[in-house]
Amino acid sequence: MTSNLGFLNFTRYNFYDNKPILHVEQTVAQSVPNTTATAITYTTVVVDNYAGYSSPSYTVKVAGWYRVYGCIHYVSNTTGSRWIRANVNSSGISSTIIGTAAPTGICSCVMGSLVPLQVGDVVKLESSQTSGGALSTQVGSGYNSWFGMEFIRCP
Amino acid sequence: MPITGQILTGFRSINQLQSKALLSVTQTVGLSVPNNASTLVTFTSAVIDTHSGYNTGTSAYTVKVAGWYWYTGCIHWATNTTGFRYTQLLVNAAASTMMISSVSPGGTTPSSLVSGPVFLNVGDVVTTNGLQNSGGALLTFVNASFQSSWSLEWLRI
Repeated sequence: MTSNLGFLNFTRYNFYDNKPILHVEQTVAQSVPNTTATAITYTTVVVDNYAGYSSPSYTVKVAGWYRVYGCIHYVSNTTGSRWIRANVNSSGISSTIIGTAAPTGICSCVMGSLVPLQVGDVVKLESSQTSGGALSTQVGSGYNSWFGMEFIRCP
Repeated sequence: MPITGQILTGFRSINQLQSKALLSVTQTVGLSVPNNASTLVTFTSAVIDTHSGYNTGTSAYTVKVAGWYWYTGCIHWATNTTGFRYTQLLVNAAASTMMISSVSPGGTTPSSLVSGPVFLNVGDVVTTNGLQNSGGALLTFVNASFQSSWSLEWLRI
């Protein structure tokens, strides 16, 4: 019994030592149309230990609660507002959205939220802006937008 | 420590990880927040509440497991360009000076979000407050695309 318990613990410890985690960054600027929810492309993979990411989406490999977080930086434009949110299986998640008014200078929208996910769910971040025309994301000069996911616990 | 003790300790640790306390609540009905007054924000929909600590009537969470938690709170506000808006964590009715975030509401539907670690003891009562100084009462914003929310995730002892 003692050795069986030890084996079970080792298996579970292995999972938590290597639980699903994703962190990707945007290193190529993207043009976001006016007033249109647009999937954000993050083309540089920092970590994706379950190989679920293919820009712009992550396909879930392990069911459970995840922390989904992300940021988008827009180039300077003082008109309108900007928002970012998680999208699961082509549906925007209203409890994850963050909106901000366009300030002077680079505008950053940051979100982070807990989301329940099933195996096969497709997750991405999407954003919109109301500057009146297409607007570029900001890349470089110290700004790289990012998208991440962290497994928290089983369903 | 004897091997049996190590295994049992490890088993308890795994149990904690697999069943750690998790809370996520959302707002489905807008709230009128008075001008320049820190106000308890009501979140009446519990998405997950693993340890049954949340009271939807009082919008308060009573901690069941002590430890460090990751707190995230976000409030969406109706459009109004005057003043600022903030979201703040309260523990036992005491406002946190670290878990507070303020934004300037220049555009439509501004959001104030704050996130970070906080240590909580069993029995601590956790709420989320908002404040706005538009000059009059202002609604939090709720629609199919915007739902204010807050969450707690147990991290470690």
